[in-house]
Amino acid sequence: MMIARQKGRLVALLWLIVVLSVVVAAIRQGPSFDTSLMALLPITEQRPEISQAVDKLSSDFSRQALLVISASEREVARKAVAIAVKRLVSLSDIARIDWQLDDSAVVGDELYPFRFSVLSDAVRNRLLAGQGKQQYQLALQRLFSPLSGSVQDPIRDPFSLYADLQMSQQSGLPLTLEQGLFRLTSAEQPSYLVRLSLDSDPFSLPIQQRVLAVVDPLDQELGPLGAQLYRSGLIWHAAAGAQQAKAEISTIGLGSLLGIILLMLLVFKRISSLGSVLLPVLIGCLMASAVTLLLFGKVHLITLAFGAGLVGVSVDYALHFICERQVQPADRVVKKLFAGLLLGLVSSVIAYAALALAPFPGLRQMAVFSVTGLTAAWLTVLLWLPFISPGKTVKALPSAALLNRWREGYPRLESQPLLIVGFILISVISLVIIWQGQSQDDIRLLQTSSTELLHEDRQVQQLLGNSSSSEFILITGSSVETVLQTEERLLPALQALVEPSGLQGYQALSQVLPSLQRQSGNNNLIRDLYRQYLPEIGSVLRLSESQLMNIKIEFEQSVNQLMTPTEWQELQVSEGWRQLLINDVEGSVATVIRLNGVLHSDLKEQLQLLTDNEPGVYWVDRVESISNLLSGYRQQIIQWLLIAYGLVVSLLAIRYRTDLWRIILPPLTASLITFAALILSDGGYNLFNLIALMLVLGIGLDMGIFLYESGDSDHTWLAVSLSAVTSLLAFGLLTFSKTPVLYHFGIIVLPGLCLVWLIAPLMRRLQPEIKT
Amino acid sequence: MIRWLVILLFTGLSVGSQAADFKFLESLTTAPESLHGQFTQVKLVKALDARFESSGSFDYERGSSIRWHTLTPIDNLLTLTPRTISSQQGDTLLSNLDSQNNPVVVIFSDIFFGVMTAEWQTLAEYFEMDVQGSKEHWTVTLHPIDKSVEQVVTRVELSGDDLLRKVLLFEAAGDQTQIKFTELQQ
Repeated sequence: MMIARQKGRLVALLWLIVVLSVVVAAIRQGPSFDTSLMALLPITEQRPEISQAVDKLSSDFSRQALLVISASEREVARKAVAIAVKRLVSLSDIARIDWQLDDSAVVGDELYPFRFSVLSDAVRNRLLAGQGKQQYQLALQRLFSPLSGSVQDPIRDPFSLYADLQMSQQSGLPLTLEQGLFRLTSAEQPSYLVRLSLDSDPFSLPIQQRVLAVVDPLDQELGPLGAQLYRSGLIWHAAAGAQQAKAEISTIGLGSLLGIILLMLLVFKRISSLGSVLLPVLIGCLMASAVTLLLFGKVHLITLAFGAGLVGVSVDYALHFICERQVQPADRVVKKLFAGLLLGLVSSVIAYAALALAPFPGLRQMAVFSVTGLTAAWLTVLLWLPFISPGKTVKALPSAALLNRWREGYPRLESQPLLIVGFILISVISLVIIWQGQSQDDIRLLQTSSTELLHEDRQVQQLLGNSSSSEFILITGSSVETVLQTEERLLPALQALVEPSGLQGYQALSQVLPSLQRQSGNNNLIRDLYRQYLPEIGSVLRLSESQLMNIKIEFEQSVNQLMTPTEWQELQVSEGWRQLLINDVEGSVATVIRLNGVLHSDLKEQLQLLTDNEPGVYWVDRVESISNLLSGYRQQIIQWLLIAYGLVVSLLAIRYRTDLWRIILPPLTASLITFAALILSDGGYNLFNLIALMLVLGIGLDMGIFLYESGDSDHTWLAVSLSAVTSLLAFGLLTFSKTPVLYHFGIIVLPGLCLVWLIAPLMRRLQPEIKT
Repeated sequence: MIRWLVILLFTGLSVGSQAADFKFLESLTTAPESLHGQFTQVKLVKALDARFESSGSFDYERGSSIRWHTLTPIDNLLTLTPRTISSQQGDTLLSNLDSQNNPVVVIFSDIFFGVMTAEWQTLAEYFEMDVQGSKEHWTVTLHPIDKSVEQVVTRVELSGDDLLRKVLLFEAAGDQTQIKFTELQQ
C-alpha cells in the first residue's frame, strides 16, 4: 500500500516535470496567435501569385478609412466637411488626411507628347475601321464649336487627337474637384470624400480607440446640421469586432464562468473541490496550447476557442473522481473508475483524432489541440487528484440524492413499447429532414460585422464605384510588355460582357498604358491618317504652304515618342492606376483587371471561361473559393463524423455487446433531433454546426459510459449531470453570441446536450446492479 | 478723380455675394423654358493666327437638351443632354460621349448648358460673377473659381436685355470666340 502510494507520487512528479518542460519549451519559442481566418485554409490550394495579389490589394485598402459626408444642400455639406476636418486634424500624427486639393495639383497636359502613340479607344477603332474621314470631320467640328473643351492647335495636332484622349481619360474614382473639395459625382445629393490613410495596423486597439474617439462624436455633431456621415474601411469593422468580442467576453464569458463556479460551490460546498474540477481542464488547455504551438508554430484563435470547448469535456473526469470520492477513499476510486475513464478518453480521442486525417490545416490543429488537451486532463485527474483532494470525508452529497429521486420517476425505455415506437418515429422523421437539408457554406459565416455597418460600407463603395478586392482577373507574365499585350488580347472579349451580362465596367492597366507594340501600331494608323486627310484639312482651313510644312515637322518630331511603363509611372495621370500593377519585377510581372458592378453567377462563369483559354490569366473569386473551401471542410467533417461514430461503435461493441445501444442512443438521437430542428429553423446547416455535433457526441458518450460502468449510481448521475450543465454554461451560452461562428456552435450544443441529458436516464437497465 | 467715381459707381451696382448675384441676374433676365434662333460665330485661333466664321441655328429645352447646328462652312450638329454629348455630320454619328464618369466632360457640359441657356445657378458653381448694367442692357463677366475649369474656359462675357444676345469666350490657349444670337423665338 505504502509502496503503491510512493510509486503514485513518483509518477505524479514525473507528470509535473513533463507538463513544466513542455510549457517552458513553448514559452521559449514565444507564444504566437493567429487571427486571420485565411490562415485556416490550405495553402497548397492557392497559387502563390494569386495569394500575393490578394495580399497586395487588401493591404492597399486595409489602412484606408473613408468618410463620405453628404447633405441635401451643397453649402451644408461643405460646412460639415469643414467641421469634420477640424476634428480629424487631431489625428494627423497617426494618419494622413486627404480632403482637399489645391489648384496647383491640377493635372497638366502630361500626355500631350504621346498623342500619336497613346490613342483613345474611339480614335483607334475609328481608324482601324478605315473611318479616318470621321476623325477629320470631328476635328473641324471642334474647331467650329463655341467651346471645344480642350486646346485647339491645328499645327501640332490638326486631327484633334489629344482632345479625344483627354475626354476618354477616366479618373480612377468618380470624383471631381469642387472648389478644392473632392465631390462624388455619382451621389444624388452633394457628397464629399474625406480619406484617412493610417500609418499603422487598423487592428491595433490604441489606434482604433483614437480614431473612434474623434469620428463617433461627429455623427451627433453633423446630424443637427442636416448632414450625414458614412464610413467605409477595415478599421471600422476591426473596431466593431473588437468591441463585440469585448462585450461578449464580459457578458457571455463572465456569465458562464460565474455559473460554473456557483454550481460547484452549491453542490460540493467546498472551494477545494472547485480547484480539483478546474485544475485538470486548466492543465489540459495549457498542454494543448503548448503542444499545438510547438507543432504548428502558431495557435489560431478559432482553434483555441473550439479546442478549449472540446477539452472542456474533460471536466467530466474530475467530476466523476470527486463525486465518487465523496463516498470512497482515493485509491479505491481510481480502481473503480479506471475502466470507465479509459473508455471515455479513448472514445473521445478517436472522435477528435479523426479530424487530423482531414487535409485542412485548421481541422488538423483542432485535432492535435483537443487530443493533447483531453489526454493531459485525464492524466492529471488520475495522477494528481488522489493527492490533492482531501481524503477524510466519506459522505453522500445531498444533491446526488435529490437528482436521483427525480431520475427514479423516469420511465425505462425497455419497459415502454410506446416510447420505443416514439423514439423510432422521431429518429426516422429527423433523418428524413436531415436528408433533405441544405448546406449553407456562405462566407458570411466568417464575418463578424453588423449588417448596418456592412450596409454603410457598401453604400460608400458604391458611390466610389469601387470593385471588390476579392473578385478580379489576374494576368501574369515575364515582362510588363507581355502582360500588357495579353490584356489587350483579352479586353475586346471583356468589353463584350459590359452591359448585356451585367458588368458595369472595368479598369485595366492597358487602357491607360498601351503596350509598346500597340503604341507603334497606333503610330502607323496616325501616319496613314495624315497622309490621307491632311491635304483636305489644309484646303478647308485655307492653310498656307509654310503652315502645312510646320504641321509635318511637328508630326515627325513627336510621332515615334512611345510611353514606356517607367515613364508612365512617374506621371501624375498614373495616380489611381498604379495599384493595378501588382508586381513589376522582371520575370514575374502581374497586373489585375478590376471589375465594377455586382457580378452574377452567369457572368462569373463567362469570366471563368474567358480566362481559362489564356495561359497565365486567372479569374480570382475569393468569396467563391472561400465558400468552396467551407463546403470542402463541411463534407470532410460529415465523413469524419460518420467514421468517428463507426470506430467508437465498434470499439464499445467489444465491451458492451448487446447493451451498446444504451450508450450510443442518447448522443445519436439527441444529435439527430437537434440537427433536424436546426435545419427546420435556420433553413440549413454549416460546418460549425457539425463541429458542435462532435462535442455532443463526445460528452454524450462519456455520459453513457460512466452511467453504465458505475451501474447507474446516483453519484455518477450527479457527475454526468454536472458535466452536462457546465458544458451548457460554457458553450451553450454561445447561442447568444452575435459572432456567427460562435452562434452556430452554441445553437447545436445547447439543445443537443439538454437532450442527451434528458434521454440518458431512459437507457437505465431494468435491474440495476447491487452497489458495491 | 472721375475715374475713381466711375469705378465706385459700377461696383456699387454689382451685388456682393455670389448667391445674391444669380438671384439678381434671374430678376434681370427671363429664362425661357425653350428657345430657338440663329447664331453667327467668329473664332480666333491663335495657333493659326486666323479667324473662322460660321453660322447656323440652335434650339434648347431647359435642362434637357441643346442642339447646336452649324450650317456653314461645315454641316455639323452638336447635341448635348445632361448625360451625353454627341456630334453628327449629316447621318454619320462622329462621336458620342457619356459625361458621367469623366470630370472634364461634366464640367464642359455644365458650362455649355449654363452659358447657352443662361442657367445662372449652375454657372455660380463654377464662376465668380460680376454683374453690371440694367434690365435694358446688362453684362456679366465670369471668372473660373477652380483651375480645372480654366482648362475649358478662362473667362466668359455675357450680355443681353431680357434675353441673352451676345457671348464672348476666352480659352486657355488664347483662342477667342464671339457669338451673336438673332431671330430669337420662345
